[in-house]
Amino acid sequence: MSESGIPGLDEFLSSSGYIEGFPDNTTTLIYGPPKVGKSIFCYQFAYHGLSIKEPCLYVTADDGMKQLQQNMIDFGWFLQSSIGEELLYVIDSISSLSGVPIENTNTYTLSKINDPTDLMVKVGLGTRFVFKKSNEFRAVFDSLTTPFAFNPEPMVIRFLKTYLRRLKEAGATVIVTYTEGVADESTEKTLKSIVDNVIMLDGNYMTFKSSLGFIGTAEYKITDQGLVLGKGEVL
Amino acid sequence: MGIFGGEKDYGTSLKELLEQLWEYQETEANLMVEIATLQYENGDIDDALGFLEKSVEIYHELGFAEEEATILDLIGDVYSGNDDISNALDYYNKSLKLCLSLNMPLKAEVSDKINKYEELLQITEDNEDREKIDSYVESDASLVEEDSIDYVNIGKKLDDIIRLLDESAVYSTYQEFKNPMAQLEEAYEMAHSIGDENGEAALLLIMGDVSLKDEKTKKSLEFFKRSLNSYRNIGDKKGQAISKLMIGTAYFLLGETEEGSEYLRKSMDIIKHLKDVNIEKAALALLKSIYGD
Repeated sequence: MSESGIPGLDEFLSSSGYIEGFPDNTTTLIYGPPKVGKSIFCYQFAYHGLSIKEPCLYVTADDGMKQLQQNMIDFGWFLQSSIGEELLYVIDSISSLSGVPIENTNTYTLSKINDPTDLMVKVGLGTRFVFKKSNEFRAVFDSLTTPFAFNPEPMVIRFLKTYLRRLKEAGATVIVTYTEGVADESTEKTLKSIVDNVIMLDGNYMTFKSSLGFIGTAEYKITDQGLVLGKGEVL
Repeated sequence: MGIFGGEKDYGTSLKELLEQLWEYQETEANLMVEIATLQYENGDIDDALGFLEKSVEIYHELGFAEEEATILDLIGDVYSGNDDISNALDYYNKSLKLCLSLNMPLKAEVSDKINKYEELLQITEDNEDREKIDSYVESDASLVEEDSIDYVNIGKKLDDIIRLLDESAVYSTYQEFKNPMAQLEEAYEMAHSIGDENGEAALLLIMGDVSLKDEKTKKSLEFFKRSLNSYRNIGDKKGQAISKLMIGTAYFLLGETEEGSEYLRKSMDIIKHLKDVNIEKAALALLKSIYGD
């Protein structure tokens, strides 16, 4: 299992007996309406991994690198030391749209959200880099909402399938986020069908569905420590 | 030596004399502008410009920036009145620089003139480019001698053309990797697997360009032809025009000038309808490299 970093989540998942905590080397879709904590889940998941020296390949598609760092600082999660140790590899697919020249580094690379091929090439390079650090690593894609806005939906789905397959093969525990209602209903169904686990956030409850048969729901709150789970129920 | 025997001290005398000199110089400059005005009205353009230039020098030396800006604008008017737009713009820009630094009301008028004449200059250049393109493609391809082809220059021009594709900015950076062709091939496979047809077509074009630089001209021709097919499939006219330019160039480099000329002609037929100034300019530069100026 992987430690999710969300207080209460690993215990809740383990309590079912179906799974032992957050399942590692799986793919998980986190979805829900806007402002329910999907990105916070990502920050928490990535930051906790980095704090226990698990590298992370982070694709940021909604916020540029600076904004990502600022968002995490708001919760007291500082990335600088992990960047220094080259544990965090960031693919920033949004900053190039601003037209401001930004330099790539060993662990920071730019891509373009409307260029899925380049994004996938950069994911390949990032995966190789992170894999050399550890064959157990985390991968975050936050979020799919922007690629859906810039590309045909079937292409995003094909991109996602390739992304998930490659990272899973490399040993990563992968989470991707998506804002409900952005794509067609049929596309949303496909999205949910190509991952191992689905987490639905609605602002009050987190519902976890695993392909292994676990379904459970728990209260949660967004605090200054990130998401915190309350009472839960295995369904 | 009476002039050296005055009672005033040195500093006061010098100041008074310099002030007199500046007054004379200002008057001289004013007179020059009046003379120039008369000459201009009489059709003596070169003489008028000469006097105006001299007056600008004097105003500049005196530090009379407002007058300098006004006369620079006037010189711009003389040039524009004689259809010398390029020189006119040069003087208007100099004038505007001063107007802005002094916040002179004249700045709005000069700025308007710059906009107007820049637009006019662009249209003129575009028309000239179109005429040149027509004359190149109509020229006899057999007259191009293989020995006269500047391969390095042509390579640069091809790079410039590929850069006009939206996708190329990203993919061109792959050429900085250790093994660019392997990286490009991997990217092509990726584009193919996710159905990114624009990416596929652009990558084929860049792989062709890389092959061409490696002097694998036949291989490059294959890539360019596959790229053309991809662009046809997605109905991208700009991509088709660029692929055809590349194919034409590759044929020329292989010594098949008739075939090359045919592709260049077809490409130009598309480019003319695209109304894209950048691609017209880039294509013209390529044709110049192939056919010579």
